[in-house]
Amino acid sequence: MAAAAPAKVKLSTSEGEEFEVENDVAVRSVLIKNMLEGKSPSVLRHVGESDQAIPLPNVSANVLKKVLEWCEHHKKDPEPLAEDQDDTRRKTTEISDWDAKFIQVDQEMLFEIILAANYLDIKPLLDVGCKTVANMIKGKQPEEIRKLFNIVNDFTPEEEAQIKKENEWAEDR
Amino acid sequence: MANPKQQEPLKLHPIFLKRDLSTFEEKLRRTLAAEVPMPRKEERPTGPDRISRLPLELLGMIFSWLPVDALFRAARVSRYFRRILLSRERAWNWRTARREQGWDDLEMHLDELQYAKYISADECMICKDDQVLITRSPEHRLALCQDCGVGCYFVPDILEQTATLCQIEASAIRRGEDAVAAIATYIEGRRVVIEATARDSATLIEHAECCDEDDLECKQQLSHDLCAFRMYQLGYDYIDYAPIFAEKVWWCWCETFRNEYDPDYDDPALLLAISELDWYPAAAEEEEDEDELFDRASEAIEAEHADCIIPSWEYWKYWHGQDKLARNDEFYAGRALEAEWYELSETYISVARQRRSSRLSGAFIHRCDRVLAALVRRSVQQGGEAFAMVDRDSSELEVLYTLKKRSNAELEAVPDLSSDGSFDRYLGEKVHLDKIRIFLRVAEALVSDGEPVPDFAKRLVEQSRSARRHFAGTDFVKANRELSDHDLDPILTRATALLRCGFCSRKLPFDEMRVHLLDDHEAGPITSFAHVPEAGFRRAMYDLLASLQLPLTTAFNELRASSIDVVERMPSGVLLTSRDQTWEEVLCGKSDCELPRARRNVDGSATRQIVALRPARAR
Repeated sequence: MAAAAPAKVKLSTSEGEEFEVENDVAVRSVLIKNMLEGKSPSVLRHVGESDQAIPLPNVSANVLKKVLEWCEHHKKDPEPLAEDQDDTRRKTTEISDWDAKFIQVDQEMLFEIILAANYLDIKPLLDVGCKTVANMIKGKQPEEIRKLFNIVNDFTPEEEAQIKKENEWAEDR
Repeated sequence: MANPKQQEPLKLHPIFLKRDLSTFEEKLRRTLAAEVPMPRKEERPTGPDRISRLPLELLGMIFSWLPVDALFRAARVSRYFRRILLSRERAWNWRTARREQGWDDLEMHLDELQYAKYISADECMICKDDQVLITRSPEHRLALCQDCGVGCYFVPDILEQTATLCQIEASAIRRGEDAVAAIATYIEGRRVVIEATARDSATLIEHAECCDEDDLECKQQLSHDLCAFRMYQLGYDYIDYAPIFAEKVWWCWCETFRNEYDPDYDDPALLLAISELDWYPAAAEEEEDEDELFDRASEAIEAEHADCIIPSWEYWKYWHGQDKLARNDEFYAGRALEAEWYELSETYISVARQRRSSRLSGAFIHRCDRVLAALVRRSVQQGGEAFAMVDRDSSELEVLYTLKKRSNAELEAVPDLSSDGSFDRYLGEKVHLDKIRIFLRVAEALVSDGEPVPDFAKRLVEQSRSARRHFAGTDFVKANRELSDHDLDPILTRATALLRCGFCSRKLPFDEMRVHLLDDHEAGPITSFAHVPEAGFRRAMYDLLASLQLPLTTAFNELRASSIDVVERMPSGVLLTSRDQTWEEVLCGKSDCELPRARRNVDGSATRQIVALRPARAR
């Protein structure tokens, strides 16, 4: 049985900077939650029980700060049920006002947040990030998408014309 | 060896012939020739491309929020996006998007683009006219205006051609001749027949133009020829439709039954039925209630007529006469030349379709192997919808493509396949060669894992390695056709020789995999979709056998009854132990949390990363 989780948790970023956060903020991350509850692999099991900071080698300080800002705001949200993640959620790409404002960041930060949310296993934040990128793609022509995300067009002009012709259907929508 | 996963089964779609070539070709030409402007050269981006560097699963999550049209546009962004979005792993993105849009699931024979075009079409796909009634034909994946819908004729049954080509190939192999050349000769012959038919139709139309309005006999003859020709164009064989014009047998008795049958005790039909019922003597001995007996006989008669086709009223009026079919001149006089076709074609087609179905069922199903039989049955059930899967490495592929491209595929009466059993032997041989191919894959894995295998298997693996330099793998497999089931089975049934399904990662022994692929994924051949499981799983299986103190040669069936604890690596890297699993659960190919979804979306999910298997401890 794991020891009772402390009220505060220390997190250590890739640069070694340490953040002290409330337990209920930190446990928005399923990864951290599992570590604290002792469900994680044995090497990490005792980390949360002592004063030692939990190392998050994949997350930089400015990204973690941003992620913790989100967790802080959402700490009272009910936990999503494991089963209804896929089927029962309505596939709406709408984002709450606060989240929309929160995610108004440059592209670099946006993708860093997505990567961090994936690593830390924070499904609702990951959804916010993915929906934001999806909304950026939606309604745009391929050229616009390329320009927006700096993607190189590696089709030959002939290939592109051919694909465009095949896809005629999606063009006028 | 090419990655078998990339070998999509070849799907053959219906081919359509056009009745009036000039009108429709013109329309089609206009549609096809519509100029697409060459894209402008874009400036090379200067900033970093972060989105393409995202891990695949995250890119997939982003795509999962896109509607169908945005998915299509995303697939045009770059080669990388296109490859990802059109891969089998991303099928669930499309499925989610389709469901969100309230569309039904994809028809087997349509690809995403065809389906999107079909389901959302609000204009005719041939003439682009959106003012007229739309006819949707899911079987032929077309949405057409009424004009084009009436004008386009489909030649649906390629399956019959496949079977014929198999037969020709088999005969050539039996005679020691080149199978491909034999088929090429056959196809060339077909081309000649088709061209001759096209010439005949031209003559027919010419004659129609100079036919005298009052010359009923001439008009009727032409009308008859026209109908026969159209039935031919529709893909029906002469033997299926000729009797409709010549004899009343197919419906007369049935019609008499409908009009005159009276479940009266004296009715001769009923008495005959009673005498033919198997249970009659027994029932009589027991002095069964007479009313009940007659009820049961009535039911038997009615059941016999359940599938009978009732001719339309027009048919009845047009073909009158007591014993022999004779045209009703009154019905015909004053009508256009094509009246017979427009008013009676529905009946003609229903009857021809029924006749063909029963002919195909009888002629093919009982002598095809399981895979082919299932395809035939499905095709026949769906009213002759053409859908055939063909082994990519078998020689008929090229030929079928040729046949398809020529758009003139329609075969004469299929030769009788029953005569010498060569078709059976051919299929049997093919199935056995597939088994040897799978055996080679398994043996290679076992040898590389250092598992004990018989000497012949070791030799085979060594030979196959050196053989690749000298001749193709197919030849090597054929050279080893003398390997019998007796040699192969002891190894293929081992617990360490489970195969992994290319669609859903389920792990099964060879025989069960064949059935699984067919039943659950409607896919074949096994050589394209069955793989040796990943190394981690094999290691876990070896460790399990060691901990149970069983030899590595233990057959899988001996393990079936035991319960297993499974340790697996979750996507986040965490190890998860599931206790007391049945083998069905262990081998399902999916993580526990994924299972409910995975059962529905078989091809959308990742392999379960099993790292250890342990015998469940009694609790």
